Amino acid sequence: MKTLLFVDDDPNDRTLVEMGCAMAHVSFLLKTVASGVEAIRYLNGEGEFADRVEHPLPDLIFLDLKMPEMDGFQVLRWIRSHPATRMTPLAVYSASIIPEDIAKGYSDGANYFITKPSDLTVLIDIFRAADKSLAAEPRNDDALAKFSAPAGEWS
Amino acid sequence: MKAGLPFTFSWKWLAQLAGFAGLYFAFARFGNVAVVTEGNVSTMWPAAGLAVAGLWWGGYRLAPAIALGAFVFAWQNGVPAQVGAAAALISTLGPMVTVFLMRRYIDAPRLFDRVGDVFLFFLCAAVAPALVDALGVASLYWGGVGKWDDFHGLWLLSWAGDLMGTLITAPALLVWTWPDSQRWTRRKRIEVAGGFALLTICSALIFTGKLASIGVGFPFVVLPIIVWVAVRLGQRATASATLLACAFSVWGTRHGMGPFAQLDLSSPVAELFMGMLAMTGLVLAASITDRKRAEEALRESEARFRLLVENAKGYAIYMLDAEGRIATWSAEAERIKGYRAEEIIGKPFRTFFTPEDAQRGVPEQVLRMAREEGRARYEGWRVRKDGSRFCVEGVITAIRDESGALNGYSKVAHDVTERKQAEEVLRQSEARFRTLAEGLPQLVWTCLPDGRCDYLSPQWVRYTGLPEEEQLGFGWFEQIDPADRERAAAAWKRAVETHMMLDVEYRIRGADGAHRWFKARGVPLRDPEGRVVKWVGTNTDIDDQKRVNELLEAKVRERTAQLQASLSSVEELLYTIAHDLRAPNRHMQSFAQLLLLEHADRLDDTARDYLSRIAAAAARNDELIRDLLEYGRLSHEAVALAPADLRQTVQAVLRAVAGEIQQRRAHVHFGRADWPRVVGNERLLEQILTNFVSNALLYAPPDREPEIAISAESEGGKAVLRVQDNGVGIPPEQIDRVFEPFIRLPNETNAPGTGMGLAIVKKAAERLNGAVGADSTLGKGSCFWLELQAA
Repeated sequence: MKTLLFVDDDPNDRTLVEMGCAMAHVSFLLKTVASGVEAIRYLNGEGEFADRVEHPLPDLIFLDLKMPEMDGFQVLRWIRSHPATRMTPLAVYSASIIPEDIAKGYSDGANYFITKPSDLTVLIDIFRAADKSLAAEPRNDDALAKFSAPAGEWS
Repeated sequence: MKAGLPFTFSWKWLAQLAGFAGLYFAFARFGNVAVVTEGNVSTMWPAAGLAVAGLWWGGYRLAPAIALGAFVFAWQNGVPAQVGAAAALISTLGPMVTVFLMRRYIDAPRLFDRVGDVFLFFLCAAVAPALVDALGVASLYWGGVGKWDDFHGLWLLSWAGDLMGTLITAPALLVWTWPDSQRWTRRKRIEVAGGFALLTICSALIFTGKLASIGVGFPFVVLPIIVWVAVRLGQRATASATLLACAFSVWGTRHGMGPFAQLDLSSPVAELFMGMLAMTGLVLAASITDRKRAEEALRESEARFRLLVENAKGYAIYMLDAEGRIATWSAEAERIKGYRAEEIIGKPFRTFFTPEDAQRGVPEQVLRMAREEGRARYEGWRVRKDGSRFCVEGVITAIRDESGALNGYSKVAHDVTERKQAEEVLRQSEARFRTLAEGLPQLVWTCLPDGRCDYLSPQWVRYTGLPEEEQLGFGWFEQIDPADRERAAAAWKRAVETHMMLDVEYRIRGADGAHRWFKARGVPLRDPEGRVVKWVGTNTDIDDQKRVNELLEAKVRERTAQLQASLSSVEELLYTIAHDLRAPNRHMQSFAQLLLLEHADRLDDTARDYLSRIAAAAARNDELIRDLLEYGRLSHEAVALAPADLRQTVQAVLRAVAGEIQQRRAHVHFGRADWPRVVGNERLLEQILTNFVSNALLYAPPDREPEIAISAESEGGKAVLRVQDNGVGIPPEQIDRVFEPFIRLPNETNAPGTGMGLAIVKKAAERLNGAVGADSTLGKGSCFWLELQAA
């Protein structure tokens, strides 16, 4: 089973994503962490995350940008600099629509830049697409791409 | 001449010799006939004159003919052969020595033109026979023909004969060997004919007629005639007349007639008379020729002088007499001063002076100075005949004769009025410039075309505290702050080389040692041909201004920093809005939806309606925040401008709103094919166009299918895009407000929106250096336009 790691400090967003995934009947395992520091501990397999059966390395990461202690960009750079996670598909999942954020996200190594939707149905669609992407083998159906902000325009 | 023979042998020469020998013989016979011979010596020997003339004219190569003629003559007179040969030798040697001496001492082709030459001729004609005849007489005695007691008398006789023969005969022949210098006018011809007729008559009467017997004094009657001929008619006539008179005298005497026939034959009175006649005639004629030549030279020199004086344009050249009265005049003097010669000659020099100068005694001073120092230069105003004044510059020179007595003055005056006036104009203009330059608050300077300074105003001198002369040329450069020197020099060099205006700022050291900032400006002055003749410039003290500017700049920097800081805080705020302010809305909407989706069965219709309203309000709030965010960002974000294809942008926008177009069953009309390219930014252009098209769809009445026409065209360097709809239109009083933020027009369609759309459009257009506007007819439709720079 594929694993999606969701990193967001906002409990409301975590709840909404968990609800959305449930309503979308996704087939991946959703793991959520509440901060950038926790995300790094998870990916390193530290402490409570040492058990890789319980906490497997993710196949896709959703990462919020604005977080206390360590923001999304720092986490993103950490992920891209570590061999185990260097190639892991990653979507920045942020409220930001600021072009500079989008450009920076892509240049730091994000595969997608998805703006958090206000409409719950859109959220359900996003995670349905994530599920589809993860299921595709080989990954030739990039369902998430249509939710992602275009990259070329900002770079 | 070749070595050996002094002349080349030829038949022509032989013929000449024979001819000349015959001529000599004939002359010898005549001479012999003329004078009674005593022994072998003749008292008048014309053949000697012929020999001299022949040798002078034909050269020594004729000498053998003389010897031959003399020998034949002697032989015919029964003289023994050896005595005849000696006589022939003597007869040849005498003329040869004479001619040799003449050639040696007389340097003229025309022998008797100068008095000095005539006397030299007499000397040559006297000395040579004296020596040679002494030798000849001696040879007679050695040959046993004569007695030594008679030596003296015989030598004298033979010398006198040779001398007289030469003096009378040679000139009469020689004068024909060069061209005549007389101008033979009709009057002269009559005169010569009359003269010779008179001479012939007188000679005939004196030497052969009745008068002959009266006395010795009468022969001198011919003298005035000879003098007349010599004075009036030249050398040829004189020599010929002398010869004529002598011929009569000899012939008469020979035939026992005339005054000399009665005298003692041994005294050479006739010969003396004839010699005197010849000498008088020759000397007189030569002195007349001399004078004529001198007169001619004087006339030529005078003519040249006149030419010079009359043609010296602009110069009045004339003479004053010793008393300072005008003595000569010239055409140019008349032109300059206006007086004709007859009006002014004899008038005093002071006539030309202005009354003021005359009263002050200037004319007398000038003359006195010329008298005392040799010459006087002067310059001043003079008065013409018509009273007008002119300026002259001239020199007056005292002229003295050999004894030092004052003869008069020469005067050369040059009219310099024009130059004087030009100088005056220049002086006035210079004075004006100085007044101006010295009245200005600026430091004024002028420079030569090569950049060297030639004037610095007193302000400059005062400011720097250094004398002007120390700073002329490039001395001023030393006063420039060393930090600015290189820049100042480069600017000045560039201006001088390119003739472009100088405009540079630098610091100049003042008298107090402090440097102040000056703005130097200089322009080249050009002559009519466009050549730079001068640079004129000013240095303006801008030190205070400079300090104020520096202060201002510091203030601006400070304010900019403040502004930057507040901008950063705005950005921070915007960031917060983007991330945090939107989250509650999102959550509100999502959880309301969640309730509706997951727990609908537990809610009644009213509750569901309320939840829907909460979700809609949250969504609308989020939309508003997004628009505000966009509007804020447009105000300060950097916008990259580049050429953009308007048509492509329109197509992209139409694709993006294709769903809505279809839904509203709208018809979109596209303008002509060649759309102008514009200077823009693709994202902003899309934003503007999306707004235009969305509005056109939004404000269409429900009962009407929307018609949207999109066109673009170039209008003088600009490109204008128009989006025309057939919607509800905008009331005229509202049309100016539609681009303000939060303005939503009242409409029947209840079109949704935040009221920020056109405000964002306006801001975006401003950032593209463009403009937007709308024209509308209420109920018929609106036309929104966007004007951009054409690419």
